[in-house]
Amino acid sequence: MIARDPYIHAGVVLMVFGVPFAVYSYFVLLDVTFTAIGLASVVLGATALLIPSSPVPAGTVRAMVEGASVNVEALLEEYDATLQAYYFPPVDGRVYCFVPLTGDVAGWQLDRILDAPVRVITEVAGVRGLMVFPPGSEIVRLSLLGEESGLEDALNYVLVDYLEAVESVKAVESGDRIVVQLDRYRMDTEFPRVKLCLGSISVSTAGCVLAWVTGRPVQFVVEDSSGESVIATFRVMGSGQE
Amino acid sequence: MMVTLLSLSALGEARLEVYYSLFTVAYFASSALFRPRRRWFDVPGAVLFLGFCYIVAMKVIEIIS
Repeated sequence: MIARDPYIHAGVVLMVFGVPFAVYSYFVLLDVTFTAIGLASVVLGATALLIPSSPVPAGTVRAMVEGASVNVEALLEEYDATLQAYYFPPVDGRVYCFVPLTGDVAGWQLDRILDAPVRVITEVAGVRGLMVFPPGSEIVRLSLLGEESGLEDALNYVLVDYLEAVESVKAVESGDRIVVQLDRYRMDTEFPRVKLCLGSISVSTAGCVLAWVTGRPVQFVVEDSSGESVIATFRVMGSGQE
Repeated sequence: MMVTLLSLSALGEARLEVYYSLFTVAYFASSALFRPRRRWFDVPGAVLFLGFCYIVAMKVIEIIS
């Protein structure tokens, strides 16, 4: 289950109580004290709705996450990685990525990657590749996201509520493809290799969420940013269609 | 805010604008003191401030006329 934000619950309860109570007291009961109680509830409720549950400022979190990408960029640069990464379902609670270096991996070979030793450079079925832990991996783990969460709910919870990286998320499943639209994203990366192989930070985090929720390897296909939105396409592997 | 409410109620205050004005003062005092993080623009603060301006303007007009 997704951990629900207690501030939102408190805010909604206070607002739902406060608005009708204030209106009823003012127009029907004609009682100023009761009206003031309703008014106070509305103000407290609206304030509670605006308070995020995470005590760490989002700007600091974003800076740390972007900083964590530096090492991944250096690694990808060193090995001249240019192919799109596969996000794998969690092992020991962490999603990890396989970035092929010497050619793409056939769908049927992907399950063999799951059995490969977790190390920086690995080889599966003749394909050399890098295994990296993207910053989104830890974010998803620390957000205590449940594996049985719905796709869009999970993306909303991690990217909007927990990380505050984007303002809204939409996800559409079409065959083995999942198209994710991130609106008004506040987290980007200037690292070209990370962007090319894993996607920008918000997209990469979305990839981690998808691997976590679907329980299948998910390949990052492409991302396209226009204005304040990013549309990213992922391919779910092992669904019998690749 | 609840302390304000109870105090004014105990004093028998019957003007809603007095409650509203003191809620506004209490809200901004608490905000300045605790500096809470917000997801978005401070909507309650803006609404309270606009209402407070309206009440003050009405009072000023009342006094002038």
